[in-house]
Amino acid sequence: MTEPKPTADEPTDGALIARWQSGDERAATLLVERHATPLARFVAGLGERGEVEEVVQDTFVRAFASLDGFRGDSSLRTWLFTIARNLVRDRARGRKGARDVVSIEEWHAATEHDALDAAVADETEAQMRRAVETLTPMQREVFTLRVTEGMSYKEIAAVVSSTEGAARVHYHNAMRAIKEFLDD
Amino acid sequence: MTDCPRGDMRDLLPDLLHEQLDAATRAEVARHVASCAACAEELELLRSMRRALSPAPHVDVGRIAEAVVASRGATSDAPDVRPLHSQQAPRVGRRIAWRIAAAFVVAALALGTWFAAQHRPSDTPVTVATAPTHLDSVPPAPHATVAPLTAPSHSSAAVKTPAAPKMLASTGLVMDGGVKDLSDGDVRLLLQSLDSLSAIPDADPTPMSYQIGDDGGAR
Repeated sequence: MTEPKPTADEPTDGALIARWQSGDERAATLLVERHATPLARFVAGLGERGEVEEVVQDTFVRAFASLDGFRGDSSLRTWLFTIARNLVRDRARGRKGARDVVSIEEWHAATEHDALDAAVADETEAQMRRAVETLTPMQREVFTLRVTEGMSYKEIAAVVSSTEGAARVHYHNAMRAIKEFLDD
Repeated sequence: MTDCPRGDMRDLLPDLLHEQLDAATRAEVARHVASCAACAEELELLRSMRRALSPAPHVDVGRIAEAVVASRGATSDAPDVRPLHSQQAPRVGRRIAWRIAAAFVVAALALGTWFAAQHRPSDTPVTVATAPTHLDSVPPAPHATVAPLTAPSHSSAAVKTPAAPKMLASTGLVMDGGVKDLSDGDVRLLLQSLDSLSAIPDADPTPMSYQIGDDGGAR
């Protein structure tokens, strides 16, 4: 999905951060409401099993705990995604002996969300999710951020600690791999 | 599926999907997609992929927000979770408190040292070193020359304890050592003294011969 853009009536992320820093706790709620769902989608897309909310919550807690270190030269959204990605990777490293990545199909089957049940029923969409599973972790991250979240290559590079050029290459390689999978 | 050779257009398809292009670029890309089957097919694939991957697991936003607020209270002492303007005052206050504490420690140490010096036993010499107030104006110490710990070998005689000087009562000469140590004047004075002696033995004395060395000493 595209970056949550505040309407004219809604304060920007920067304004909410300033309000939070001045003691307005309501600002935290607004920021969580704005970014929690895209983060949950991204975390689930990375294969985090059943602990998506825990990762998302940890992401926000860590982000808010160090908001003073947030330079503002990247968007809050990019920063949150970067934290979430690192958390998922850390958790995967900590799960020795266990599968660190669960298939998107398994995750969708494990959830009780009505919309997901409907999505799983759609064979075409299920085939596309399987196609994404064939990607390398980096390709999957880049492709998800580009297609699902609508991030620019610059933002993606910031999240995955790479360059814009490398992000572009990963995206096109992912696209080619998906096409080949679907053509087979 | 085939790929369009216009890589720049393919790059913009996700942005077109998310409506993130300005009007002019969007119109240009839309025109290209309308005339390019490969890009139209890829755009449709992207749309389907987005739809397939969009469902997100439910997360309790309220609970997460509560956790964030609670973590702020739990880490209220942490300097990095508070706003900058509220951090400055406590930091400055802590700095001043540390300086005051350090001043007290220094004063206590000085007072303790002074007290110990005052109550030291009297037979113990007390050395109080005072720093000069004007270093440039302090003259060099009069006994600043430090004697060598060991005398040079060629002047080993100097370390010998000198014998008590012998004084010739009649001449006022001080005989400290042998004749070789006398100067020319002393030798002449000594000879004159000998010549003036009245009690000369009968036997002729052996003639004395002496030489004045280069160093002025008699040999």
